[in-house]
Amino acid sequence: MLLIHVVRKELLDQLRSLRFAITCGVCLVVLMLSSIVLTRDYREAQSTYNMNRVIHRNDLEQRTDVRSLWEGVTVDRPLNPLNTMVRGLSDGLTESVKIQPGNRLDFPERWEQNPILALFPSVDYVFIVGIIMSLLALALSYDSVSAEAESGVLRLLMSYSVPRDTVLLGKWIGGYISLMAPFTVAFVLSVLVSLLYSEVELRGNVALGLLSLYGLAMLYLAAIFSLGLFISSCTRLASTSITVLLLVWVVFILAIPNTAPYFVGQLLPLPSRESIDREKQAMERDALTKFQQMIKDEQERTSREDVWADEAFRVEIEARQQNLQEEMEKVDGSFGAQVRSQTRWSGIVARISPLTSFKLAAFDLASAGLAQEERYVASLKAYSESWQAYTEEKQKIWEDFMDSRRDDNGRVLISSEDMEQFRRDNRLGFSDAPGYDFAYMSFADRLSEVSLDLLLLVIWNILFFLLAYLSFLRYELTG
Amino acid sequence: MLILQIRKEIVYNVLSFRFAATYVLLFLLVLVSMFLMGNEHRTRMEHYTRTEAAQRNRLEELSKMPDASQQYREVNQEAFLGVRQPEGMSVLARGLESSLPTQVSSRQHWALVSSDDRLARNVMLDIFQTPDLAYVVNVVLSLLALLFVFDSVCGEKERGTLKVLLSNSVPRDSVLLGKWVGGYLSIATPFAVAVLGGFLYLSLSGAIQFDSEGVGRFAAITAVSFLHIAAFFSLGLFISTATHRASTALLMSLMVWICWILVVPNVAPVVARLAAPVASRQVIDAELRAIDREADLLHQAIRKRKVYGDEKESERIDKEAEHSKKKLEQFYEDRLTRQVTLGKNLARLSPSASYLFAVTRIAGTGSTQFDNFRAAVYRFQEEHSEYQRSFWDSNLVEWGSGGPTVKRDDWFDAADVPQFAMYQENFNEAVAAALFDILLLAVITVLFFMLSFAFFLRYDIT
Repeated sequence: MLLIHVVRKELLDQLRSLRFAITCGVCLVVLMLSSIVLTRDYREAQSTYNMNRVIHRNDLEQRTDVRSLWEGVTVDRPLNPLNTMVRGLSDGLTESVKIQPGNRLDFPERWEQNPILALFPSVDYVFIVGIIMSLLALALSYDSVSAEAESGVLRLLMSYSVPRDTVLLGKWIGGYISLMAPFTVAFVLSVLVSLLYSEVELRGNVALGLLSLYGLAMLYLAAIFSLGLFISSCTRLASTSITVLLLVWVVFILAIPNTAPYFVGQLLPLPSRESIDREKQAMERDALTKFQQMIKDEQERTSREDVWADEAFRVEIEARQQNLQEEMEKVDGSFGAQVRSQTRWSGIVARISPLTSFKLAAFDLASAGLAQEERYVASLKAYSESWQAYTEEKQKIWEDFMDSRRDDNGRVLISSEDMEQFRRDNRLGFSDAPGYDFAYMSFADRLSEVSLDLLLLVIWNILFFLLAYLSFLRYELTG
Repeated sequence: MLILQIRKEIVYNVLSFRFAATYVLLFLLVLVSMFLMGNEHRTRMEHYTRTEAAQRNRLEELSKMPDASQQYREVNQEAFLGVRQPEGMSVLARGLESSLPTQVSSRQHWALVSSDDRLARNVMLDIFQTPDLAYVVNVVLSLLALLFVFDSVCGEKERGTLKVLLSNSVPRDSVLLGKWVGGYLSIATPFAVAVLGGFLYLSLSGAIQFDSEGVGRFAAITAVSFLHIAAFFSLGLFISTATHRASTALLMSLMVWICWILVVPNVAPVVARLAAPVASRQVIDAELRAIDREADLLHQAIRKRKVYGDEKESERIDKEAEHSKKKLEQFYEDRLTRQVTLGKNLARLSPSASYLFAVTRIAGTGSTQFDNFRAAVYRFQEEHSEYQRSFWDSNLVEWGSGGPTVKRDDWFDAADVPQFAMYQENFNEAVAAALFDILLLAVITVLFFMLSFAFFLRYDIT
């Protein structure tokens, strides 16, 4: 009962303050602005995506030559509706990738767009909550204890029979509500705006994604709010607590996450991509000269031109080729392992800051993070394989047709009627080509991906609140 | 009188807790930033020299080949590399440096990213922003400047010292000027010391080879940084004279900071993209292909009419197709330029963008680097196709059943192979180009100081 009184008092205090008005204003303006801008951007992307698909489909259907299948096909990544909230790792909302048989993927060049976009980060939900809202959370909590101690209200309050834990909990709940209320309103409005302006339907995965993003923001902001309360109950003056908090904010939110990858890069350096390519090229060149030498030796030894007729020799060469392939894959593999280890350690070091946990979890929940990216590339590779199978199948049909028209001398004679008939049977039409099908991760998968970060955020919450509690218990009321 | 004022302000600031905390933070941040970025640059330079050396070796290897025909075949098939030298000043202002490729091939029209590259990088570098000096100054120092100055007028009023001060015969203008100069010095001095330390580290550790131009660029970037801090200091002073309570001033400062540093410049490019849309590259490419196809159909039509074709007519068709392709490319470029300009101008509503544009321009890592790079790649590839064509035109090669035979043995000279070269503005040009943004920063500084003067003259001190 007492708790409710304290919460009510705290809430009323906050609601009548200027900072509450500022929080409301900033929340509404920034979230709505970002939502309107990003949703319109998404709508543009929708039409680009549809246009690209038509272009690429037409491009395929206009082909008549079997050989053109080996040139590959261009596919488009489906749009992710959650990109209206979280831009994530990928640069653009749409992307066309050229797939060639044999696992060759050509991604579009990243630098061939508007260069200004690369200079500034985009203001999406992650940026707004991670940086702007965290600052506002501190602005709401920095003086909750120290200012009351300064003005003497706290002394008066404690002279009643209120236990300290109730006071602190009341302060936390009241302050947190006054932070989350404007945020929630702005969030709901921005979701409504994006639903109105785009053809996104609020269904299953999208709705769950939005909800989980909101929950994540609640968790993260609670941790930051507790941090503010902790610093406030460590200091005697409100001006000291805001100074300390801003500095802590700069270190935790701005400095640590941004420097961590570079720091880890110093400790776990990577060879450059070019040097790996050079190494592979050198291996290939060495092997080639060795093969040529072997063939020459074999020719001299057997004094025959056609050394390939010798089964044992051919097997040996093939085994060596296989070996070379494996060696080269090993080089690639070790490079990949180094990259993964650097990325992993960067993530670990950067997680000293709760912002990292929030950001990475939000990326994954919006299926715009690293896990999604890996799946995307894997699906493209799988598609490349099925494209290769399709190409080989078509090639075979064409060769069979040619063989059936071969005369005794081995010459191919195809009359134009034959060709017409063949065309009409549509055996060389490519409309039955495998389509590229890609599904974003299911919600359960995404959730399991972020469980560690959620746990970390919960730990930050508990830690900061406990620290606040401990220092408030020992807080000196008389100055 | 003014000197006394300045002294009082400095002493007050230096003795405060926030000075100590800020000083430590500032020093650490600037040094850590220069240390990390400097070392990163050194690694990039090492990669660059190694790639460059490998490319030179390859050329030597080619020129030493004994069999001229074999040599011709190899040269004909070779994809020569154009290697881009990392920009030294990217240590201070990274800009677009890391989003441009470090090497391009002479063959493919656009250098392509292979599948391994997609994941073969530390994605954490993309998720977070680059902690270069420009970032530290733009985001952290602007905040610290506001933190230093938000209560310089209204705080003194609350404490009552302003009343006492003005009861003496001090004119208000010298009080305000004293506050500005004293406060500014007490934040600019630690920054100057930190930057000096960073400069010493960079030059002594050899992370950057400084020539006189490099020192000039470094100094210019530092000077613009001082101006940026001054702009935010004036803004803070204005807010302080416009409010009567320190807590209000603090909140207002934070709000303006959020809008100016975090929101306006970052929203501007996306707004520009919506206001001045550009068709996607794929659409343009598809239209280019359509033009080609149309020309093909026309050619076929001619061949149907006349067995040996009509040379004049074909030439005309080719020319027309070429012309419309060029026009389309030009159209695309124009639209893109318009979008970029609009984005820049919108972003300039915030001094933070002016600062970033000025600094990246001086460092040579701004959007001009992008344009220069694109031009350089185009030129490099053109020169190479020209180079290949020259062998055809000079009747150097005879094609037989056993492949090409070269008539002259000494036909290949490694020095003739076109090299990748990027145009770089010299220091004076860069500063001149950045002058507009520098001027904007100066105007904002003066404007806010004047506003705070106007408000302080009418300030109610009781």
